[in-house]
Amino acid sequence: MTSCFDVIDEINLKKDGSGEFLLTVNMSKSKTKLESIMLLESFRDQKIPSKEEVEKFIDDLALFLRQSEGLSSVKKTIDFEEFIFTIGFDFESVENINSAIEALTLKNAKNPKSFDLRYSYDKSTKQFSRYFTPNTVDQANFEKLNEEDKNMFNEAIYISISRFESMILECSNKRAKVSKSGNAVMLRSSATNLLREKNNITNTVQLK
Amino acid sequence: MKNYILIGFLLLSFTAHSQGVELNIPSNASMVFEINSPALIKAAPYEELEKSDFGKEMIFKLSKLFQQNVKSFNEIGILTSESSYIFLDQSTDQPTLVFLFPIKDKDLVERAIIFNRYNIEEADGYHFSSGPGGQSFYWNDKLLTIVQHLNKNSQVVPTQNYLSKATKSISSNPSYKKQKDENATFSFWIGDMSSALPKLTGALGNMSNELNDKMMSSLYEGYESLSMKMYLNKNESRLATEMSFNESVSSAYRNISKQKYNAEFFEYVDLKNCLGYFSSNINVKSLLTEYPAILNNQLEALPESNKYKSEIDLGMVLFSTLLDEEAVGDIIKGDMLFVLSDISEKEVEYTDYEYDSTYQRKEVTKTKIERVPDFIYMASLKDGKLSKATISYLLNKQLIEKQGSYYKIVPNKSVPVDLFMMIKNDILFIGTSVDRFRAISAGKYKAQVPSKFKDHINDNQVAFYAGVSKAEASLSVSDFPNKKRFAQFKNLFKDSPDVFFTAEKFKKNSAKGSVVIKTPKGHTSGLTYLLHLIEELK
Repeated sequence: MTSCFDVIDEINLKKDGSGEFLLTVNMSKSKTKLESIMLLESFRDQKIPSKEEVEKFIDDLALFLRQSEGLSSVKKTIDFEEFIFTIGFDFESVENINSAIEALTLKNAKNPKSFDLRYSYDKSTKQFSRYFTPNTVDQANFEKLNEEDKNMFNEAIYISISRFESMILECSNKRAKVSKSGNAVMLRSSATNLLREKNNITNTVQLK
Repeated sequence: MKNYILIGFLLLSFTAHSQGVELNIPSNASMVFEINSPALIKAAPYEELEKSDFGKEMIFKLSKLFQQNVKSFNEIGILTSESSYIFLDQSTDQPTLVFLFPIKDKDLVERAIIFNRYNIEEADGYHFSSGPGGQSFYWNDKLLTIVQHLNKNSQVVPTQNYLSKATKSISSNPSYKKQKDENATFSFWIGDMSSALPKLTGALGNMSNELNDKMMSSLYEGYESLSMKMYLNKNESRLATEMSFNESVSSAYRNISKQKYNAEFFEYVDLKNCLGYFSSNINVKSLLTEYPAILNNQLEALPESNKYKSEIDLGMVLFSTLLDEEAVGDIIKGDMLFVLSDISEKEVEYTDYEYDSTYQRKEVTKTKIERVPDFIYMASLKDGKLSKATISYLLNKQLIEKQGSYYKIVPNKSVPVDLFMMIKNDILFIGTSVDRFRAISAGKYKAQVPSKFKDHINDNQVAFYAGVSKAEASLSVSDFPNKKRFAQFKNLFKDSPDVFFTAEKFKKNSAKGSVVIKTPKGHTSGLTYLLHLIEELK
C-alpha cells in the first residue's frame, strides 16, 4: 500500500536574471492506487478531491500566475491517466517569483503557504540562492498523521534542479550534486526529511 | 447509562430457576433483548474469559466498582445460570427502557450504589435509588431492575419497578414465543417494527413528535416482527435474523424471490479453490412490477403534509408508465455470480524521469509489480437486439475490441488488470483471465463446484462466502501498509475460518438471513475466537 510521488522544481536561469520555472508533481508510480482512491469521497479521514476540483485548483493557480507581474507564458498540464501535473512560466527576475509566492500566501490566508521558498540572484556577484524552510503548520499537521500515513511521505521525493548559462564554482549545500556539464545542480530529499528539517535544500551557488 | 449496564451485566448470579425473570416482562413489551448466561458460560468457561483482555478489563472495573480486589468472576458470582433482559415497555405514554438483572448478592449492588453516591431508600420488600439521569434502580435479594424513560426531557418518575411477575407475561406473547430459542446466546426481538421503531428512534434522538412518528411509521409500513439471534457454539458463531411482514408486502417479496437460479453459471467457475464469491438471484420482472406497489404502500402512509408527497406520487406513476417490466425482465433475469479466483501479480508501467549530464530530464517508462484481483462475473442476459446493439455501440466507440469470440475492454491506462467480456448461451461474462475466456468460449473449461457451495448459492436469494485462510495465503506484504500490519493479519487469519453470509428465499411471510463464522482450530468456541479477534484487531 505504500504510495509514492515525486515533486520536482526546475529553474533555468539566464545571465541577465530572467529565466523559466517548472513545477512537476509526478504520481505515476501510484496511479493504480490513486485511481481507486479517487473513487472514494474520503480516505483515512482525509477528503479526496474530485478530478474537477484538482483541475480547478490548477486552473486558478495558472490564472493567478498569468496576472502576476513579471511572469509570462504560463503553461499547465493535467494528466489523469499518468497522474502527472505541471505548471510553469517564464520570469523577468527571480524577485517576480518571490512576489507571486508572497501574494499567493496572502490570498490563501486560511491555508498558509506550504513552505517558505525564496530565490535571490545578484548579477554583479553572480550569486544565486534558493532558500527553503518548511512552515510550522505543515510540520505540525505532518506529525499529527499516523505512522502509516507518515510512511507514505518517506517514499515521496522532492527534487530541485537549477540550470545556469555559466559554470558553477561552488555550492554552499554539501548535499548538492553538480552535473557532469558543470552548469546545473540538483538536490534531492524525501518529503519526510524535508518536513522534519533533517535535510536542507537551501543552497547558494557561486557562478563563474 | 454505560455504568449501570456494566453494573447489571456483571451482577448476573447463580440463582438458577427456570424461566426466571422473563415472567416479569409484560406481554405487550415491544422489544426484548436477552443475554443467555448459561449459554454464554458454555461458550467460554470462566478461566478463559478471565484470561482475555475483555475479561481482564471487566475484573479491573469490578474491583474499582466494588472497592475490593476482585480476582475472578466466580468469587463474586457473576455471569451465571439465569438470563438477563433489557426490554422496552410502550404501554404508557412514556416509552420506558427496563433492565432486569438477576443477582446473587444484594450487598454488592448496594456497595456499587453507595460508591456512585446515590441515596438508598427502602420500601416494602425492596430497596430503590434514583440516579441523576432520571433512571431508577430497584432491587431485592434476587433481582436488580433499572428503569429509564427514553424521553430524557420527561419529568415523570417511573412508577413500576418490574421486580415481580407481570399479570400477563411476555412468555404468553405468540410472536415472542415462536422465535424464542434457549440455545441462542444473545437474542433480540421486536414484536411490531412499524410501531416500535419510530418511537424508539424518535425517543433516542429526542425528536419524537406526532408528525415525525407518522413519517417513520410510513417507512416501516408492512413490517411486522424482527428477531436476531447470536449463537456462539463450539464449531461456529452464527447470527441469524428473521423479519416478518404483512401479507401485501410478503406477497410482493415472494414474487421477487421466485426464480430459478441459472445453473449454467456453475460450469464456468472453480469454487473449490476460489477466495470468495457473491451471488444474488432477484426476479427483475417481479421487482419492477412489485416495487412500485410496495413503495406506494409506504407513500400512502405518508402524512399529507409531507412537502414532496405529490412529486413522489407523480414520479411513481411515471416510473410504472414508462418502464416495460416485461421487456426489461426478458432481457435481464436478475441472477448473477461473482467469483474472486485469486490475487495475482502483474507488471504495470509508470512514467519516471532520468537526467542527462546537464540535468535535462527525459521521460522514461519503467515497470513495477502490482497485485491485482483475478475474478469472473456472470449474469443471465438475453442475447438479443439490445445486447447486439450495445456491443456494436461499444465497438464503434472503441471501448471494446474483438478478440475471437470474446471482447477485450479497452482499459484506462491506470487500470492494472485486463478485462474481457463475452455473451454466450444468454450469459454475460466479465472477467480478468484471458485463459478462462478462451476455455469457456471453446467449451473446455474445467469447473470445480463442491456441493456445499452449489447448494449455498442455488438455494438462497443472496449468498456470500469468504475463504479467509485461502485469502490469507495469497496475500503478500505489499498488499498492506507495513510489515507490522501484514504480520498481524497473517497471525489473525492463520488457520482461519470460512465466513458465510446468506439471505434465504422469502418464505411465507418472512425473510431469513444469517452470518456464519466457523471456529478455527485451537479455539474453544465461537465466543473465545471472537474475543481473540477483537484483541488482535486492537
